[in-house]
Amino acid sequence: MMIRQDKATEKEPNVTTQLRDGTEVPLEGTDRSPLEPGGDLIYVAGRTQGQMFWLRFKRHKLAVVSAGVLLALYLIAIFGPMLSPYSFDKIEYTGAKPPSMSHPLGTDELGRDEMTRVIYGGRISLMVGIVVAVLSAGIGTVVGMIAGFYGGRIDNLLMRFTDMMLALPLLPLLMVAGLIVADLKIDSMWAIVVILGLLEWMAVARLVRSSFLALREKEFVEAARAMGASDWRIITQHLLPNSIAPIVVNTTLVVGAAIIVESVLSFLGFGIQPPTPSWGNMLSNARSTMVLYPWLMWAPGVAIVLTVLSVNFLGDGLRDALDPTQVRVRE
Amino acid sequence: MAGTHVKLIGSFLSHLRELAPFIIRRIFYSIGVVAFVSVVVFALVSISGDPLANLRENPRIARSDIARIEQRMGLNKPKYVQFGYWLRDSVRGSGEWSTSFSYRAPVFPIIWDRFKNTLVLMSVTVLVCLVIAIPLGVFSALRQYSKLDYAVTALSFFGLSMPVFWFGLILQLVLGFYLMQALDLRQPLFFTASMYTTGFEHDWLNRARHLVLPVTTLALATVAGWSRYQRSSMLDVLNQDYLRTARAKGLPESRVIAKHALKNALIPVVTIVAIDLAYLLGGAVVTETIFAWPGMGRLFVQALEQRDFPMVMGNIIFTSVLLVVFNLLADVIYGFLDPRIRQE
Repeated sequence: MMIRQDKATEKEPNVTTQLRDGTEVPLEGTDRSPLEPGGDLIYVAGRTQGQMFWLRFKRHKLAVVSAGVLLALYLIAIFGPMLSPYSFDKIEYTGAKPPSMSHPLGTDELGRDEMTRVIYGGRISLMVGIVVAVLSAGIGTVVGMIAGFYGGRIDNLLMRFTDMMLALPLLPLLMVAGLIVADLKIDSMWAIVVILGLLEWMAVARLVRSSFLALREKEFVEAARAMGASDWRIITQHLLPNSIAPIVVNTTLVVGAAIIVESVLSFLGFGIQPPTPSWGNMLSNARSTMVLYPWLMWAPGVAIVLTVLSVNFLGDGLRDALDPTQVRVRE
Repeated sequence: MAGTHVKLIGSFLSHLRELAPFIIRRIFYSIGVVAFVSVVVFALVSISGDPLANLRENPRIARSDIARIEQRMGLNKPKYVQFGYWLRDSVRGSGEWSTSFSYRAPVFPIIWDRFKNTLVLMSVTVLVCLVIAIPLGVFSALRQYSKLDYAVTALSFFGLSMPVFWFGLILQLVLGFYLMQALDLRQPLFFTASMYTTGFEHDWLNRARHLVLPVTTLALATVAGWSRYQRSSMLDVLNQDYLRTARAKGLPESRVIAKHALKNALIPVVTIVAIDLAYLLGGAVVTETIFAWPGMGRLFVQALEQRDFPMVMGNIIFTSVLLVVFNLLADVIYGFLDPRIRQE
């Protein structure tokens, strides 16, 4: 009797397995259990990392839905403006109008179509989220990698610096930086992206460092070194792939955090500057006319919550799916 | 009862003595951190706009007057000299820090004044959050995967994804304005701005009605975070062997939970609460702006808008000192409550 079984299927309920004659039977609850004497020889297909990830990920229903929502939001942000008959900054002298057939979300006090502006604002916010996440993950990975791999003095120095950065009061500093950006009349979106990226990398750096510190003592790294692998090869082929899970999860969560921070900055007037719409500065605008034109207050806020909620659920799902020690997925 | 308290204080003092070298090292390190912050902020502030821009644009103000103001404020000196001035003014014995551009008065007393207002808001907020978050976290851990647990998880995801300012605006519109209309009142039931109605300074009901909305706004995210933390810390403890031992020796379940589980599960939460406290006391910039609460956060926003750089600097330094102090405090208390940490 030969059983080839990979770890992921060991405890999974309702996994079917193929008997030698080609019939599919459930692995559990069958009369022909291969484990009994005289049972059939079974064969369970070996799964790649990707397949195992997908099997676990799709169990987390909320995460799958969230991934769909995010995809839809990004598609709308990319293609929406092409389909909209209105432009985001064309001023019409009709004033603010509540939602109607021609303007599904109404118009603001300058007669601009609210829906077009929300979609445009989404372009900015979603772009800021993704780029900040990638930028900060990049910086954090490099810093954590160097600190964790070389250890000793370099590690001490880099981690002290990371601690210092963590001690900085983030929001006040961002506001000062936002003021400078507004004063110097630089393109506010890219400036905000760079500043946020430079201030959000510390968590990733710490995660990567601790992962590297743990991994570099492992036997397979020692073996690679004994075979003459260069530092670069060990880092890119052995250490980094094994540290990818926390990086991915954290990067996802940073997307949400960056969108929130950007909206807060724009709301306070230190972020994206009008007339470019962003969800934050649209709400700042809506605030002053809240009682007169309440419809302006809902769409940008709903957009922020929907996006950030989806990102957080996605992060949660990824955390579960990428955890290699987890044999069983959540109930 | 009194005896145990004396013993507790005694052991805390001996804990402090034990930690003295660590604390002293941390204090030096903290001074370094604050110095780092002040240099970064000063550098940022220096490349930012000109505080006299408005005066320069005004054709009725003579150039010589502007030059005189520059002279008085030290703005004509190189940046590093200006930093020296700021440093000198800040550490000079009077404890006043440097002079605010817009208030034309020493920075520190103004910050201290606003800090007291922030303190009022935050004490109520922290109290409310603790009373809600701790039981929520404990009960959802005790009944893991129950309806209550799922509801708490959903609430915490929602609370963490909701931008504070939007939640505040909704509260203002719905519980402030619409509720007033619905009840046909002349004044909102829950006020949407400021700390008290002028003339009602000593009316506690009036003050309470001003507190409801900002406290609720701040509480949403804080409760979401703390209850989640309490839940996972409680779950960790519930899986420990000593709980089984406690049950095995016949303790009633209520006592097992209250004495053995909860007491240990609260330890990590203390750390988070202490650090969040520092952030809250530093002034909730957004909440104070929306509800026109005259605290540190609003002072900071106004100072930035007026380009009152000594005030901006003072505010950020004050916040960083709070952060550093509370971080140290959190570590010391953590070590006291959990002796296993002391080994390090």
